[in-house]
Amino acid sequence: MRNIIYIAITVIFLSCERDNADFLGGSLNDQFGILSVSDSLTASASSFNFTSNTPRFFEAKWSKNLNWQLDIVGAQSGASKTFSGFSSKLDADNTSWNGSANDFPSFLTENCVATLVLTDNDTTISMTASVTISDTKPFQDNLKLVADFEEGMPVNTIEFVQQGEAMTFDIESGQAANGLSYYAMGGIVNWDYYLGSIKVPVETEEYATVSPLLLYFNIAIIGGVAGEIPDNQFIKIYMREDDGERYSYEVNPVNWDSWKLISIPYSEFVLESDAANNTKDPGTINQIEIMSLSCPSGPGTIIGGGTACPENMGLQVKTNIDFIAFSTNESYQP
Amino acid sequence: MRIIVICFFTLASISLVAQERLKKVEFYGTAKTNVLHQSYDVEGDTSAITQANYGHSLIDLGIVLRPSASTEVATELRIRNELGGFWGGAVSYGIRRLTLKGVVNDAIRYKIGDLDLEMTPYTLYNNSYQDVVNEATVFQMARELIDYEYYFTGNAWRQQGIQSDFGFDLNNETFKALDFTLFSVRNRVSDANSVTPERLFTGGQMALTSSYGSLTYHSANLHDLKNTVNDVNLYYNSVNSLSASIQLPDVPNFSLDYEGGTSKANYDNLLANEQTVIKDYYWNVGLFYKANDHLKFRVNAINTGPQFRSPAAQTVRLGYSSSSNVFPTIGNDFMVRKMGLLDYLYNDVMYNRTFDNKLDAYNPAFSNALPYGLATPNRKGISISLDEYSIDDKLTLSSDLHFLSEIIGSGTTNLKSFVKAVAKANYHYKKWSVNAGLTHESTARDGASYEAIDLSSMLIDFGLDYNISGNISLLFGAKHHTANGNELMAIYDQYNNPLVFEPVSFNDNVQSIYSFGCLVQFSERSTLTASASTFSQIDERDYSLNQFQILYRLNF
Repeated sequence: MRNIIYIAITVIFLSCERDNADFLGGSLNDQFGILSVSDSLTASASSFNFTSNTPRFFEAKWSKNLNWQLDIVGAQSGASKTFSGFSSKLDADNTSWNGSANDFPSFLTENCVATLVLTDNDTTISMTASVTISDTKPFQDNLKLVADFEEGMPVNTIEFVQQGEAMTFDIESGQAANGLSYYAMGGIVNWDYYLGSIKVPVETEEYATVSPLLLYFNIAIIGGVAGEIPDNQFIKIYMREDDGERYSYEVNPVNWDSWKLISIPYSEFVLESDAANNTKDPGTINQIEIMSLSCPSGPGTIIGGGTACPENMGLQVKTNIDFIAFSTNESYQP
Repeated sequence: MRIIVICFFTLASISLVAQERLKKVEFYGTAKTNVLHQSYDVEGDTSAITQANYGHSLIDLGIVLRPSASTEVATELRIRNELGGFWGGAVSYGIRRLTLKGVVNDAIRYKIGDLDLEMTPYTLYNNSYQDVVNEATVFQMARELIDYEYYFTGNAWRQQGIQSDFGFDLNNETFKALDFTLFSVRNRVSDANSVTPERLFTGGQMALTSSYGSLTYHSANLHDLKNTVNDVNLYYNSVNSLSASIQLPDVPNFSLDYEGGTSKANYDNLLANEQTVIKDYYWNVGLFYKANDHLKFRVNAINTGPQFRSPAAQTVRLGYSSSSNVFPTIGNDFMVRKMGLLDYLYNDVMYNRTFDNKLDAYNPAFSNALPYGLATPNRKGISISLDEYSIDDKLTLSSDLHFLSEIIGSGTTNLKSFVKAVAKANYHYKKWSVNAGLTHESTARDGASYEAIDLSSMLIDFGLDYNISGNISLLFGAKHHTANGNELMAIYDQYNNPLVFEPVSFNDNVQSIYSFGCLVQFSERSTLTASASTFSQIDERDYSLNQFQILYRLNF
């Protein structure tokens, strides 16, 4: 019996083991430690080629875990990419960059400035690094570009422009969403909602087996500064299928003044014509129509019905578009 | 006349029967009057109320009914009148206690109603006050009032529910008896508005008595009852342990004490369908050496895991960071007055009665080494104790030394180390009796300036009683507490894991209370104490309090 007692005591001591973390709770260094930078911000290479498989990231190291934000801004495009996190360093795990932007505009082959901001309770440290984009990122897989207006209008595109004042339905160059050119749609039509449109023919046989839930229609849209444009200007998109069915989607209102990606699954378009088979068939889309619309200011009869919006008097519609494309499984990454 | 004679004999007979039945109905009671006058003095404070006069009288009438030889019903009825509640304006009535107990078949004892429950310091234990070492008689009398009002009996928690005890005689030379205690009590009432479910505390122990010692299994479970509200969260905490006291066969002067167990806390989020489980364990092994009847030593090694959760042992008795409604503010900017030794003894600070699933806040100036007693999580180390050592039946000495550290760092990999020393002495000589005690605690942690900790605190108790005559005594009591240094107190999340740490500092803070009193003992059951006390606190805001108390007690 006495041996059993001694064995039991030994077993009790040896049988327990804890799997502990380094310490309990949040780090005191993170809460109270002094913030200092040990390694300044640098890019993993002086120039980033996004067509290669080489990892592209930023590096920096500082004394404590904190919330940080890294903003990369293209000098020419104005495109921006933001990384943020809670750590004490930047490395390939938290700043690996594939060349995408937060939104349109996309990056060009250009110089970029990366700015890192570190903030704790009583200190803010900011540092910058430069990097050049030698090759922009390739389009993602299964992307079908319909129009980017870089080399003019797509073949057989039909334009329609209403009679109005200062009507602008043209390809323009400058601060485009992608590349250097975009399609401007705007002007003043005070007697009709409809200002104009483009109809772009497409072939989508390759999407015959894709679910409408997984086919995304992508378009870059920019409006104008509030007060200079009608608050209720909008864009309407038609998808026409081979069987005569027409599906629509409204982006309403268009009231922002920087390029913005609108990505809509085809399943969210609604039938607006007589039904044929009453089924969205992604493989039979043959035309995309993009219309610029706004409530007319009047006075007089409004063609096509509806009431006038006198508050829009003198305001010029601006619903510019760029980069019309289909993608599958996910939205386009600008 | 004949009728009168018959009535007289009938009443006399009833009276005699009643005498016979005294054991079936018993009355007992306590009457108390406590009158306090306090004055408050803060330099430069022109807005504070500086005088408070309050107190109460109460009578608790206990009735014990024994309808049969195996059943007993005990109740205590209370009538309380606040001082100044004239003509019954502030009288309150209530039932302080209601307990039914009995024995079934001379084998199973049961108790229903108010229960005083206690198991081990890790499972179910009401840890003692942190502002007491070896208190003077004049303070003990005030302390007894608190204990009585809040049902603090030893280290037991007063709960309401059902308890049963039974046992088996094993008729074996080695294994002698097996005893069981089971209980289930209602710890919290459901509240539909705050979606707080009913909470029960259930457990028990099974003790095997053998020729080598005893082996006991303990179980303490605090758990929410499903479907008492539209449940959103459910909580369940279980602590299971084994304790043993073994007489070592080869060394008869030594015995080994052991307790070890596990805890498991479950947090069910029914909306998110998520369950968080937190588990840990503890052990405490002690070697007891008995040199002779007067000299006994004990050495214990302890290890209580950082995630050990035992609400029934980790609930603190007194909220040392709570506030009193007596002189609640200090200064013309109405800052909350920091409570002190006088408030803990006489004023309405917060005492816990139910178990929290969150670790209670504690004041590191009073206890930083073991704020939740032995069940304090994240502690390992050694304790050395000298049990009561008496010399010539006049002087009694005892002491405890704890050398502890964290098992895992708090917010850093550096560990805090703790030293706690407790010494007590009682001396009786003719008409004099002296009692003194000292607790000294120090906490240290090395490291960078933001993580370094250096905190020390000391509490001294001193009491001197002089018995003028058989029934009149003069009493003197003193308490002195100091704290100096800094600490980083954890702010816990809902699972009792530290989230962030809040710096606290003590800059040579001192508080002391001195009390002079006179105790008149009218009889064995009736005493009157009058005492005058002065208290001062040197802290961020200094202040002093003076107090006069009259306390009359009668037991019948």
